[in-house]
Amino acid sequence: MVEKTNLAEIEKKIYSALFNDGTLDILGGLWIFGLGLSILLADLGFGISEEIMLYTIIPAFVVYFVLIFLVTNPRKGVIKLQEKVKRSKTKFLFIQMIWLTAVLIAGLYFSLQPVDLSVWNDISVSLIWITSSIILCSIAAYTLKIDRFYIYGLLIAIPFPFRIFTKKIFFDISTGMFFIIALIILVWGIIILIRFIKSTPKTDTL
Amino acid sequence: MKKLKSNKAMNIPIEEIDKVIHEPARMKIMANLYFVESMDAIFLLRQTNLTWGNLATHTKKLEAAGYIEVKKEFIKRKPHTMFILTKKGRDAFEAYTKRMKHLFEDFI
Repeated sequence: MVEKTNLAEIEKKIYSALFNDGTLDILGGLWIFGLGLSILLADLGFGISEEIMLYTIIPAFVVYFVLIFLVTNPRKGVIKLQEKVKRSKTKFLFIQMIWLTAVLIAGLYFSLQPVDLSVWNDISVSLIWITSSIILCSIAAYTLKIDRFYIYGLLIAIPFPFRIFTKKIFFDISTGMFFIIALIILVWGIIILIRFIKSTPKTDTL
Repeated sequence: MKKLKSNKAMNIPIEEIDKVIHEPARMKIMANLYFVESMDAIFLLRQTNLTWGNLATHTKKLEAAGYIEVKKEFIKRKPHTMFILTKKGRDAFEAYTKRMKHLFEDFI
Protein backbone atom coordinates (compact mmCIF):
# COMPACT_ATOMS: atom_id res chain seq x y z
CA MET A 1 0.00 0.00 0.00
CA VAL A 2 1.38 3.39 -0.96
CA GLU A 3 1.05 5.96 1.79
CA LYS A 4 -0.36 9.28 0.61
CA THR A 5 1.59 12.38 1.51
CA ASN A 6 -0.27 15.21 3.14
CA LEU A 7 1.62 18.46 2.53
CA ALA A 8 0.31 20.01 5.75
CA GLU A 9 1.73 17.13 7.77
CA ILE A 10 5.15 16.99 6.12
CA GLU A 11 6.97 18.92 8.83
CA LYS A 12 5.50 16.69 11.54
CA LYS A 13 6.31 13.57 9.51
CA ILE A 14 9.95 14.60 9.03
CA TYR A 15 10.53 14.92 12.76
CA SER A 16 8.58 11.80 13.76
CA ALA A 17 10.43 9.79 11.07
CA LEU A 18 13.56 10.14 13.19
CA PHE A 19 11.96 8.07 15.97
CA ASN A 20 9.02 6.32 14.35
CA ASP A 21 10.67 3.00 13.55
CA GLY A 22 8.94 0.82 16.15
CA THR A 23 12.04 0.39 18.36
CA LEU A 24 10.70 2.64 21.13
CA ASP A 25 7.45 0.65 21.12
CA ILE A 26 9.40 -2.61 21.38
CA LEU A 27 11.45 -1.18 24.27
CA GLY A 28 8.24 -0.07 26.02
CA GLY A 29 6.54 -3.42 25.45
CA LEU A 30 9.53 -5.40 26.75
CA TRP A 31 9.87 -3.01 29.72
CA ILE A 32 6.22 -3.57 30.76
CA PHE A 33 6.70 -7.30 30.20
CA GLY A 34 9.81 -7.26 32.43
CA LEU A 35 7.96 -5.29 35.08
CA GLY A 36 5.07 -7.77 35.09
CA LEU A 37 7.48 -10.72 35.17
CA SER A 38 9.41 -9.30 38.12
CA ILE A 39 6.18 -8.77 40.09
CA LEU A 40 4.99 -12.28 39.19
CA LEU A 41 8.32 -13.86 40.21
CA ALA A 42 8.28 -11.89 43.48
CA ASP A 43 4.73 -13.14 44.14
CA LEU A 44 5.92 -16.70 43.54
CA GLY A 45 8.66 -16.19 46.11
CA PHE A 46 11.75 -15.86 43.91
CA GLY A 47 12.96 -12.69 45.62
CA ILE A 48 12.25 -8.98 45.82
CA SER A 49 10.61 -7.53 42.70
CA GLU A 50 13.00 -4.53 42.51
CA GLU A 51 16.00 -6.89 42.29
CA ILE A 52 14.40 -9.24 39.77
CA MET A 53 13.35 -6.17 37.75
CA LEU A 54 17.01 -5.44 36.95
CA TYR A 55 17.36 -8.83 35.25
CA THR A 56 14.05 -8.65 33.40
CA ILE A 57 14.40 -5.06 32.16
CA ILE A 58 18.08 -5.12 31.07
CA PRO A 59 17.30 -7.51 28.14
CA ALA A 60 14.74 -4.95 26.89
CA PHE A 61 17.48 -2.32 26.56
CA VAL A 62 19.86 -4.84 24.96
CA VAL A 63 17.22 -5.66 22.30
CA TYR A 64 16.53 -1.92 21.79
CA PHE A 65 20.19 -0.96 21.25
CA VAL A 66 20.83 -3.95 18.96
CA LEU A 67 17.81 -2.95 16.87
CA ILE A 68 18.72 0.75 16.57
CA PHE A 69 22.42 0.21 15.84
CA LEU A 70 22.16 -2.78 13.51
CA VAL A 71 18.73 -2.50 11.90
CA THR A 72 17.11 0.94 11.95
CA ASN A 73 19.89 3.56 12.09
CA PRO A 74 21.64 2.39 8.89
CA ARG A 75 18.27 2.52 7.12
CA LYS A 76 17.08 5.89 8.44
CA GLY A 77 19.23 8.04 6.23
CA VAL A 78 20.73 11.38 7.17
CA ILE A 79 18.94 14.63 7.90
CA LYS A 80 20.36 17.97 8.97
CA LEU A 81 17.84 20.14 10.79
CA GLN A 82 17.56 23.89 10.42
CA GLU A 83 19.42 26.06 12.93
CA LYS A 84 16.22 27.32 14.65
CA VAL A 85 14.93 23.71 15.07
CA LYS A 86 18.31 22.64 16.48
CA ARG A 87 18.18 25.57 18.94
CA SER A 88 14.64 24.76 20.14
CA LYS A 89 15.61 21.09 20.48
CA THR A 90 18.62 22.03 22.62
CA LYS A 91 16.44 24.33 24.73
CA PHE A 92 13.88 21.56 25.22
CA LEU A 93 16.57 19.02 26.18
CA PHE A 94 17.98 21.52 28.68
CA ILE A 95 14.54 22.00 30.29
CA GLN A 96 14.07 18.22 30.42
CA MET A 97 17.47 17.78 32.11
CA ILE A 98 16.54 20.36 34.77
CA TRP A 99 13.17 18.69 35.29
CA LEU A 100 14.72 15.21 35.59
CA THR A 101 17.38 16.46 38.03
CA ALA A 102 14.67 18.09 40.17
CA VAL A 103 12.67 14.84 40.17
CA LEU A 104 15.82 12.87 41.12
CA ILE A 105 16.64 15.23 44.02
CA ALA A 106 13.00 15.16 45.22
CA GLY A 107 12.98 11.35 44.94
CA LEU A 108 16.21 11.04 46.94
CA TYR A 109 14.94 13.47 49.58
CA PHE A 110 11.63 11.64 50.08
CA SER A 111 13.26 8.20 50.04
CA LEU A 112 15.42 9.26 52.99
CA GLN A 113 12.39 10.31 55.04
CA PRO A 114 10.68 7.86 57.44
CA VAL A 115 7.78 6.18 55.60
CA ASP A 116 4.27 6.74 56.87
CA LEU A 117 2.45 3.72 55.41
CA SER A 118 -0.99 5.10 56.15
CA VAL A 119 -0.44 7.85 53.53
CA TRP A 120 0.78 5.45 50.83
CA ASN A 121 -2.40 3.45 50.52
CA ASP A 122 -3.51 1.61 47.38
CA ILE A 123 -5.44 4.57 45.99
CA SER A 124 -2.57 7.09 46.24
CA VAL A 125 -0.07 4.62 44.71
CA SER A 126 -2.48 3.90 41.86
CA LEU A 127 -3.07 7.61 41.26
CA ILE A 128 0.67 8.29 41.13
CA TRP A 129 1.14 5.45 38.64
CA ILE A 130 -1.78 6.58 36.44
CA THR A 131 -0.81 10.27 36.34
CA SER A 132 2.90 9.63 35.80
CA SER A 133 2.34 7.12 32.98
CA ILE A 134 -0.11 9.44 31.22
CA ILE A 135 2.08 12.54 31.71
CA LEU A 136 5.35 10.86 30.65
CA CYS A 137 3.82 9.21 27.57
CA SER A 138 2.06 12.45 26.62
CA ILE A 139 5.37 14.37 26.87
CA ALA A 140 7.00 11.72 24.67
CA ALA A 141 4.08 11.83 22.19
CA TYR A 142 4.15 15.62 22.00
CA THR A 143 7.92 16.03 21.69
CA LEU A 144 8.50 13.15 19.28
CA LYS A 145 5.25 13.94 17.41
CA ILE A 146 4.10 10.31 17.57
CA ASP A 147 0.37 10.26 18.33
CA ARG A 148 0.06 6.60 19.36
CA PHE A 149 2.15 7.31 22.49
CA TYR A 150 -0.92 9.06 23.94
CA ILE A 151 -2.74 5.70 23.69
CA TYR A 152 0.26 3.96 25.27
CA GLY A 153 -0.02 6.35 28.22
CA LEU A 154 -3.61 5.23 28.78
CA LEU A 155 -2.71 1.56 28.30
CA ILE A 156 0.27 1.67 30.68
CA ALA A 157 -1.92 3.37 33.29
CA ILE A 158 -4.10 0.23 33.56
CA PRO A 159 -1.98 -2.74 34.82
CA PHE A 160 -0.65 -1.45 38.16
CA PRO A 161 -4.01 -0.25 39.60
CA PHE A 162 -5.59 -3.41 38.11
CA ARG A 163 -3.14 -5.54 40.09
CA ILE A 164 -3.65 -3.58 43.32
CA PHE A 165 -7.42 -3.85 43.22
CA THR A 166 -7.71 -7.43 41.96
CA LYS A 167 -4.93 -9.16 43.90
CA LYS A 168 -7.16 -9.69 46.94
CA ILE A 169 -9.85 -11.46 44.91
CA PHE A 170 -8.05 -12.91 41.86
CA PHE A 171 -4.44 -13.17 43.01
CA ASP A 172 -3.41 -15.59 40.24
CA ILE A 173 -4.41 -13.33 37.38
CA SER A 174 -3.70 -9.92 38.96
CA THR A 175 -0.40 -9.49 37.06
CA GLY A 176 -1.93 -10.73 33.81
CA MET A 177 -2.79 -7.22 32.67
CA PHE A 178 0.94 -6.33 32.49
CA PHE A 179 1.45 -9.11 29.94
CA ILE A 180 -1.64 -8.18 27.91
CA ILE A 181 -0.57 -4.50 27.66
CA ALA A 182 3.04 -5.53 26.94
CA LEU A 183 1.85 -7.80 24.14
CA ILE A 184 -0.29 -5.06 22.56
CA ILE A 185 2.59 -2.53 22.57
CA LEU A 186 5.11 -5.15 21.45
CA VAL A 187 3.00 -6.35 18.51
CA TRP A 188 2.31 -2.72 17.49
CA GLY A 189 6.05 -2.00 17.59
CA ILE A 190 6.95 -5.11 15.59
CA ILE A 191 4.40 -4.23 12.88
CA ILE A 192 5.85 -0.70 12.61
CA LEU A 193 9.41 -2.08 12.51
CA ILE A 194 8.54 -4.55 9.72
CA ARG A 195 6.85 -1.76 7.73
CA PHE A 196 9.91 0.45 8.27
CA ILE A 197 12.33 -2.26 7.08
CA LYS A 198 10.17 -3.08 4.06
CA SER A 199 9.89 0.56 2.98
CA THR A 200 13.54 1.51 3.46
CA PRO A 201 16.60 0.36 1.54
CA LYS A 202 19.83 -0.04 3.47
CA THR A 203 22.14 1.77 1.09
CA ASP A 204 22.17 4.90 -1.00
CA THR A 205 21.95 3.75 -4.61
CA LEU A 206 21.29 7.12 -6.22
CA MET B 1 6.70 39.39 2.61
CA LYS B 2 3.45 41.33 2.02
CA LYS B 3 0.22 39.44 2.36
CA LEU B 4 -1.90 39.74 -0.75
CA LYS B 5 -5.65 40.04 -0.40
CA SER B 6 -7.06 38.22 -3.42
CA ASN B 7 -6.27 36.71 -6.79
CA LYS B 8 -7.80 39.82 -8.36
CA ALA B 9 -5.15 41.88 -6.68
CA MET B 10 -2.46 39.46 -7.79
CA ASN B 11 -3.98 38.93 -11.23
CA ILE B 12 -2.13 35.66 -11.85
CA PRO B 13 -2.49 33.96 -15.21
CA ILE B 14 -2.72 30.17 -14.71
CA GLU B 15 0.04 29.73 -17.30
CA GLU B 16 2.44 31.44 -14.93
CA ILE B 17 2.20 28.70 -12.29
CA ASP B 18 5.62 27.19 -11.77
CA LYS B 19 5.40 23.90 -13.68
CA VAL B 20 8.63 22.58 -12.20
CA ILE B 21 7.15 22.59 -8.70
CA HIS B 22 3.56 21.85 -9.74
CA GLU B 23 4.22 18.14 -10.40
CA PRO B 24 3.17 16.18 -7.22
CA ALA B 25 6.43 14.23 -6.84
CA ARG B 26 8.56 17.36 -7.17
CA MET B 27 6.22 19.25 -4.86
CA LYS B 28 6.74 16.55 -2.22
CA ILE B 29 10.52 16.78 -2.63
CA MET B 30 10.47 20.58 -2.38
CA ALA B 31 8.10 20.55 0.63
CA ASN B 32 10.32 18.06 2.48
CA LEU B 33 13.49 20.01 1.78
CA TYR B 34 11.78 23.27 2.76
CA PHE B 35 11.70 22.29 6.44
CA VAL B 36 15.29 21.07 6.77
CA GLU B 37 18.84 22.20 6.05
CA SER B 38 19.58 19.06 4.02
CA MET B 39 18.36 15.51 3.63
CA ASP B 40 19.95 12.44 2.07
CA ALA B 41 18.42 10.28 -0.66
CA ILE B 42 17.38 7.44 1.69
CA PHE B 43 15.51 9.77 4.03
CA LEU B 44 13.89 11.62 1.12
CA LEU B 45 12.90 8.35 -0.53
CA ARG B 46 11.15 7.19 2.63
CA GLN B 47 9.43 10.55 3.14
CA THR B 48 8.15 10.86 -0.42
CA ASN B 49 7.35 7.18 -1.13
CA LEU B 50 8.96 7.50 -4.56
CA THR B 51 11.04 4.83 -6.31
CA TRP B 52 14.80 5.30 -6.86
CA GLY B 53 14.17 5.95 -10.56
CA ASN B 54 11.49 8.55 -9.93
CA LEU B 55 13.53 10.25 -7.25
CA ALA B 56 16.56 10.47 -9.54
CA THR B 57 14.51 11.87 -12.45
CA HIS B 58 12.67 14.50 -10.42
CA THR B 59 15.71 15.65 -8.45
CA LYS B 60 17.60 16.09 -11.74
CA LYS B 61 14.80 18.36 -13.00
CA LEU B 62 14.82 20.37 -9.80
CA GLU B 63 18.61 20.62 -9.93
CA ALA B 64 18.47 21.78 -13.55
CA ALA B 65 16.00 24.50 -12.53
CA GLY B 66 18.43 25.59 -9.82
CA TYR B 67 15.96 24.80 -7.04
CA ILE B 68 18.03 22.16 -5.30
CA GLU B 69 21.70 21.39 -4.89
CA VAL B 70 22.99 17.82 -4.90
CA LYS B 71 26.11 16.99 -2.91
CA LYS B 72 27.92 13.69 -2.46
CA GLU B 73 29.20 13.38 1.10
CA PHE B 74 30.88 10.71 3.17
CA ILE B 75 29.25 10.40 6.58
CA LYS B 76 30.75 7.75 8.88
CA ARG B 77 32.70 6.40 5.89
CA LYS B 78 29.51 5.77 3.90
CA PRO B 79 28.55 7.69 0.75
CA HIS B 80 25.41 9.81 1.02
CA THR B 81 23.71 11.90 -1.66
CA MET B 82 22.58 15.03 0.14
CA PHE B 83 19.88 17.36 -1.20
CA ILE B 84 19.75 21.02 -0.22
CA LEU B 85 17.07 23.53 -1.16
CA THR B 86 18.76 26.57 -2.69
CA LYS B 87 17.74 30.19 -1.98
CA LYS B 88 16.15 30.30 -5.44
CA GLY B 89 14.27 27.07 -4.67
CA ARG B 90 13.06 28.33 -1.30
CA ASP B 91 11.80 31.60 -2.82
CA ALA B 92 10.17 29.72 -5.72
CA PHE B 93 8.40 27.33 -3.33
CA GLU B 94 7.11 30.19 -1.18
CA ALA B 95 5.92 32.08 -4.26
CA TYR B 96 4.27 28.93 -5.62
CA THR B 97 2.33 28.20 -2.40
CA LYS B 98 1.20 31.82 -2.19
CA ARG B 99 0.12 31.88 -5.81
CA MET B 100 -1.83 28.64 -5.47
CA LYS B 101 -3.54 29.93 -2.36
CA HIS B 102 -4.54 33.21 -3.98
CA LEU B 103 -5.46 31.59 -7.27
CA PHE B 104 -8.37 29.76 -5.64
CA GLU B 105 -9.23 32.34 -3.04
CA ASP B 106 -12.28 33.80 -4.78
CA PHE B 107 -13.07 30.63 -6.72
CA ILE B 108 -16.58 29.07 -6.23
